Amino acid sequence: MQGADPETLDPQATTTRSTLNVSGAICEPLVKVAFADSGASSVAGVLATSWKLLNDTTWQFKLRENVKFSNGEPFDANAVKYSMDRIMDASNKWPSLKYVANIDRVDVVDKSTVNMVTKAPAPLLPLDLTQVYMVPSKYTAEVGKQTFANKPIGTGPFKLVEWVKDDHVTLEQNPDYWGGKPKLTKVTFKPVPEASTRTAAIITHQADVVIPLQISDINQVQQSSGLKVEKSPTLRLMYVVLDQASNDIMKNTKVRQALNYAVDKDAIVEHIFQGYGKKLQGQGLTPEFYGFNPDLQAYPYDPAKAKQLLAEAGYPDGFSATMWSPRGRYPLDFETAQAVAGQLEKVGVKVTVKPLEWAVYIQDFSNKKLTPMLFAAWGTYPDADPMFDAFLKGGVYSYADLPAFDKLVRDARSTMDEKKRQQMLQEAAKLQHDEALAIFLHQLVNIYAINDRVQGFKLLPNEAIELQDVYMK
Amino acid sequence: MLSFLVRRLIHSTAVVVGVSLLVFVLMRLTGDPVLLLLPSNATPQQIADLRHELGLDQPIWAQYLQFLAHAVRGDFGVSFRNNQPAMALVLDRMPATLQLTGVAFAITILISVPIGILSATHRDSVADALGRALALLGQAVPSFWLGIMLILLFAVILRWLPPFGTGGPEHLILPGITLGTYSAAVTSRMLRSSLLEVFGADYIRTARAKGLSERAVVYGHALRNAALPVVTILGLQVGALLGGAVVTEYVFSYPGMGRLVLQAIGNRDFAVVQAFVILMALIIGGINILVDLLYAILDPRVKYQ
Repeated sequence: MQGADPETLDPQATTTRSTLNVSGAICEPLVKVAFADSGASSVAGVLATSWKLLNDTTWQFKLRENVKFSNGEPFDANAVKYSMDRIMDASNKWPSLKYVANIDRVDVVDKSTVNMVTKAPAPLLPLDLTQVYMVPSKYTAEVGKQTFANKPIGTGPFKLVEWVKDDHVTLEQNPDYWGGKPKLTKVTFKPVPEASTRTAAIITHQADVVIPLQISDINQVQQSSGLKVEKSPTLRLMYVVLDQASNDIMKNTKVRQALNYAVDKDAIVEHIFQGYGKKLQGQGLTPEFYGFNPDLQAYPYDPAKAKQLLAEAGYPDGFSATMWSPRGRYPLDFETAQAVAGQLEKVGVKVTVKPLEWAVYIQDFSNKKLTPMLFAAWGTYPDADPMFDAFLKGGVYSYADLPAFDKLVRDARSTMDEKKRQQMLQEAAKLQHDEALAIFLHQLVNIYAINDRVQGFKLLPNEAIELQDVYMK
Repeated sequence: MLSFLVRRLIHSTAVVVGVSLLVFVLMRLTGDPVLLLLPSNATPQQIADLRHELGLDQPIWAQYLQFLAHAVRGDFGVSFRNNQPAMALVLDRMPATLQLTGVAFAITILISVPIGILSATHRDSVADALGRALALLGQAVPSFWLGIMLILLFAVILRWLPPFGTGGPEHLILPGITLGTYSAAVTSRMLRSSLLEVFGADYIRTARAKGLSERAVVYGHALRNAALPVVTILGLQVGALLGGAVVTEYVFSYPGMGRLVLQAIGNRDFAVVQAFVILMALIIGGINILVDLLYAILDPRVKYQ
């Protein structure tokens, strides 16, 4: 049970995670993101078994053999080319076009080998492909987009039974799944937007898994028999963006650093999130992200040092500022912004927190109106590049102007040498830390409730769920 | 009568057009669906391209004229989210919302009529005070809170009813009560005051003088006359019920139009919101005309020119 209904079951037509959790049980991509216990992420094969670089702009993928779509069509290089061409077709106006924007063309080498040629060096291609799903060419071409969006067919562990919009999606097991017949025979997804209603549903056993569970209901669920509360780190990080590019006060590095020293991040995680959160290590990345710099630490909580730095910067009596924040979009977003404001006040920085409706927030964010402080909960896929994108000068959502940072990130974008790329990104992370481009807060943790009878269920850090090994006791 | 109808139709059409213009402009001034559709690391070029594809880079008046030109032919555009025709998406959910509204309306009548009559016939008694207090409470309580409380009591603690969704008639009870409470409260107060006004009239004294039983006086004479203003209120309530269904549908995860539109507003899915608003304006305009006609039937003194 999730908070939203899919807007389409065509996995190529959307980028919404909760939607892909449904259509992703039916269709599969070539590769997926795998997470080690340490949190570090890597790209693992699903329908592709291996891949390598032929040259700076050509990737070769070897495909898994003897795989069929659930309607009997074979999964082979032609299916891959068809699927890729379909998602690369700009006339579809799909948001997923972003993942394949750098691909020039897909060549079939043989039945189980394809080459993907990119327009420019694309070190992120395998990661991008984790969001690109394979569809059967004959069926898809026959039924057209509208029908496929309601009745998709794929190679996945489950098949679609029915979709009653805004009410439920029912899937049944695909007994011929290449990974082995899944243990579950039927899975039903129900969208329930109101968090209290989801809690009621899990307590009354009307739902077996509920994602997410609101923090205020954790105790109630833990006290109910037969239920468990689980948690999983997410790729969504909370921080307060500081307008270093155009605000006179924020242009001063000491001010930005002072603000970082002034915030007690542990207290926020402890008291607002009841411990369900992980303090950021002084950068806008966590171990799950490629490019994470493990040598960096969070700015310690030191209000005295904060006041000292403010005085050195020329603000011994502090200053006033506005902090813009969304409200209700992310768990306890507004409350966190208010907590930060409260702590900053203790060092003389008087902050007024102004909540904005989501669409207005996004629009003002991109129009650079949210100055000098803006509370954000940024999440992307597990690579530093898209996270750093929001700090590149002139970026759509960027309030930063640090030429050295830009150079590192842009160079990393066109480097195909893994080691060099990682090094550059880690250096960029250090720069982001030293220059305190934001007040780094914490990593959001997903909290969900699950009935004890459900075994093998895990919510991954990228909020994906994998159903093939789940079973009921 | 005919000229009256024609005038009302023209008036209603003007209202529908006015409403569509208002919504059109308001949505475009307060949010950008393009930013909401693209991932956070989209380039300015990609944003500009999508904006152009969706026709959103044209001046608002040009977009509106294009919209009108299509709308009069029944084409209300497509949803940004999934490219399906907007009006079809809205109409698809209408039966569910109508069911819920129907149940809420029935609950309104079932609750408000007995309470209204009881309060009026036993004026200033304990029953009357109780009735008025309940009505005040019903009007003051936010439906969001009421819905969650009902779920807590009847679904979680007592386990008598399901907390959400669709299925059998038992799924309509809690949302129906949540939705119907406000209009039941308003209607019962209206009925009470309308009856009290009628009780003071000459013809009621005459009826009583004639020796008619109190029952005959209330139901045979008073109620029919008191019904008139109540009918107007009920007509307005239908509009409120259709609109209030948004919150109720959200809390109970009920798959109606309200939930669709709530999401569409958050996503700035222009076409869906417009289709919904125009549909509602047409329905409510139609109901208002029907109420006026009903008036003419119920009250022989009313004649329209």
